[in-house]
Amino acid sequence: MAAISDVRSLENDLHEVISSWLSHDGAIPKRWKEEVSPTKAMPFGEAQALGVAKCAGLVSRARKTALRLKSLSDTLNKLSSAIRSEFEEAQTNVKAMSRLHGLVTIPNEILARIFDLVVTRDDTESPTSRRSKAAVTLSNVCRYFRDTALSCANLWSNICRNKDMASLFLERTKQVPLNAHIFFARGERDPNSGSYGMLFDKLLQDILPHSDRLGGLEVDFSTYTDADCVDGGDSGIRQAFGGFDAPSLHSLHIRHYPHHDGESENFVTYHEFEGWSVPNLRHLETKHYFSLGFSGMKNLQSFDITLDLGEFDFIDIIQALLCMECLKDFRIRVTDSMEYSRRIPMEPIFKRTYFPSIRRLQIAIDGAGENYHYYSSTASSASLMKALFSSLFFPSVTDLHLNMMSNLDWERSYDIPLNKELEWLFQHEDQYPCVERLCLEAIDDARANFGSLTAEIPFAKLPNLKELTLCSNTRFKPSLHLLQRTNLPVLERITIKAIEEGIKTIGPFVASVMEDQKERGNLESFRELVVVNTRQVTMGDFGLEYATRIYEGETALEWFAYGTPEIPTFD
Amino acid sequence: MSTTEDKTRKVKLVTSDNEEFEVDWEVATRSVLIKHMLEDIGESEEQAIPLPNVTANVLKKVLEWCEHHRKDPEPAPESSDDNRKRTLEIGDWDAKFIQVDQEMLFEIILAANYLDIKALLDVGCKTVANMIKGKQPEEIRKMFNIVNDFTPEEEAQIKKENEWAEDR
Repeated sequence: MAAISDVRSLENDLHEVISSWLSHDGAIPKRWKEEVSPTKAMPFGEAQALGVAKCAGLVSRARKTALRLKSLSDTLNKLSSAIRSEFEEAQTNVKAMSRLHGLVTIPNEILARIFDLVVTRDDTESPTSRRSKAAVTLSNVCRYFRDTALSCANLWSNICRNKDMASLFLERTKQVPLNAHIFFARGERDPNSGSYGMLFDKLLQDILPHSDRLGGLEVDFSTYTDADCVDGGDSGIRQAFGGFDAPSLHSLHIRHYPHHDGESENFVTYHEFEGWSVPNLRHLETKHYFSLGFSGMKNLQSFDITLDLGEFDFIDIIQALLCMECLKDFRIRVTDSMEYSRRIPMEPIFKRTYFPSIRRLQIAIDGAGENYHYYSSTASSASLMKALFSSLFFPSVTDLHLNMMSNLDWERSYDIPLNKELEWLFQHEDQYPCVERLCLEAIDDARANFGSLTAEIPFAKLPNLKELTLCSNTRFKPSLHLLQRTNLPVLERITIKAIEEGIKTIGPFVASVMEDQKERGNLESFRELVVVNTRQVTMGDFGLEYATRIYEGETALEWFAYGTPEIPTFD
Repeated sequence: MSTTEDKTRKVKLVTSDNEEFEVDWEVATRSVLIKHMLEDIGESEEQAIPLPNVTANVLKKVLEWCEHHRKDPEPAPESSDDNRKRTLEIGDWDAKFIQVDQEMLFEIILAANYLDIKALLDVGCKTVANMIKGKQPEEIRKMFNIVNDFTPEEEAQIKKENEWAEDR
């Protein structure tokens, strides 16, 4: 019978060891045991009796055994890590092969649908440019992708950048509606009049003949641009642009960047679009540009405006809104750079106005939480906001999104209340009687991580609220006004999207709302609590993934059961 | 329009691997295909609906989605006007639901397409779109385990297109 100390090859040892493991989970064969077991301690006299040579022999045998086992252990360790890395590669291969398998099994029309989503579904600042790049990227992967991409005319409908690109895209779009992005820049200053000329994007020359196919248009007015431009004064292009006829145009973005650099003359007038014929315009997004004379506003379904307080007269904007009889989505973002503070009336008065068609309303206030009594200019801003929102009534709005952008800088490392802004927005019981979903974002623009934002949630003014979403990138402490406790809505879903500190500070409020709902016997209506930790993010197989936990029904009460909320993590 | 009777009714579904599922009418009819089949067979409660293109493990997953969305309103028909505000965002529950292995993801897409469940198909396609979005061609090839099979002439054209796309 062979013993471990017999001279045998490593290969044989491995074979024996693996057989032993497979047959009875023993790390070494049974017959090796005796040699591996530690030699029992013995009286010194006995050891002496063994003699030096025998003792040395025992030491030598033990050493050989240890070396042999070490060699086995090292080899098996190496083998194990080699097999692990082979396994990891095989796992990656399984994933890749299943994607390849998936790609092969899905019909071409679904791949085309996915391509359409990749290219056309984003709401970035400048979608046309991103979309055109995304289409090019997809067509560069392999021939199958290219053939599929080229067969989808819709992917190539985003015209921007340069004339070569434009002609290539125009050829590939066939007859689908086009989207284009064009730039305008400030031209030379006329020494006599002192006014500036306007430079027109050369791309406009290619687009004008296709104006009947234009579905979406982005227009950027900025002082400088690196786009290839022509002087509007030297060509008929200004005239052609002024009388633009685009019967299919349904989406228009106007971005104006007025300069406040001391040069008071701007090169853009607010009459640039007044001669346009765009009877099918449905979506208008405009930044620092508003023209009451623009006839395209009549049939709008969505209107998104960003403006500075005092930049435009709100009476004109309200009048324009009243003409938009089909308007369903209205988004307004108000900033207060104080550039136009001299134009803000001291005692503004607005007539009570109802907007019955609007279903989704988003109001964003930049600089929320400012001390509006400190400076006279901000005091007038506050009175304007108060008077304005007191007059606006949205009887059919079901989705209300409030975005409060604040600045928690180091000088103010204390709680900043957003109550003033919320009071402006919720002045009457019947301003938003049908709201079912409220999303309140409390954002620290400075990301300074000092202090907290606080807000009393105006539940009493939202009797039909079913879903509440609270988002924050800082410590946010929502609370309930004591008087509101008797008049709470019956919630079905609460969503928290915040960083860890935000989840912790939002936690007590959510717990008290749910406890209250339970006490009132309405907990069975509650469907789920969703908690998203926006700081725990990873780029997974499915794009950006946030650590998320969903608590269904009554289990939501357990989320804050021990006085601290459970924070979702990937661990 | 569903009646109160419909809502209490049970529907039997049989998968390609011969497994039978009994589900609420409201859940099963998230699938337009099943809804139409039920309309065709009428009131017969005993008759099982065969689903030869769906295996049991995929149907189980699809029914989990249908159960969660059983009370959702019917999706509105798509129109080009909706284009502007559409994003690749997926609801929180759906995002968690669709975190499955790739094989299952594509199986769900195929099943949603076959069963005609538009909202689920949308979730699946958006998930794959999110996987592709923002990646370079080489990364996409790696992701799908495919190679660049362009001819030198096609490569030259692609290079030109890339230069134009990067311009400005």
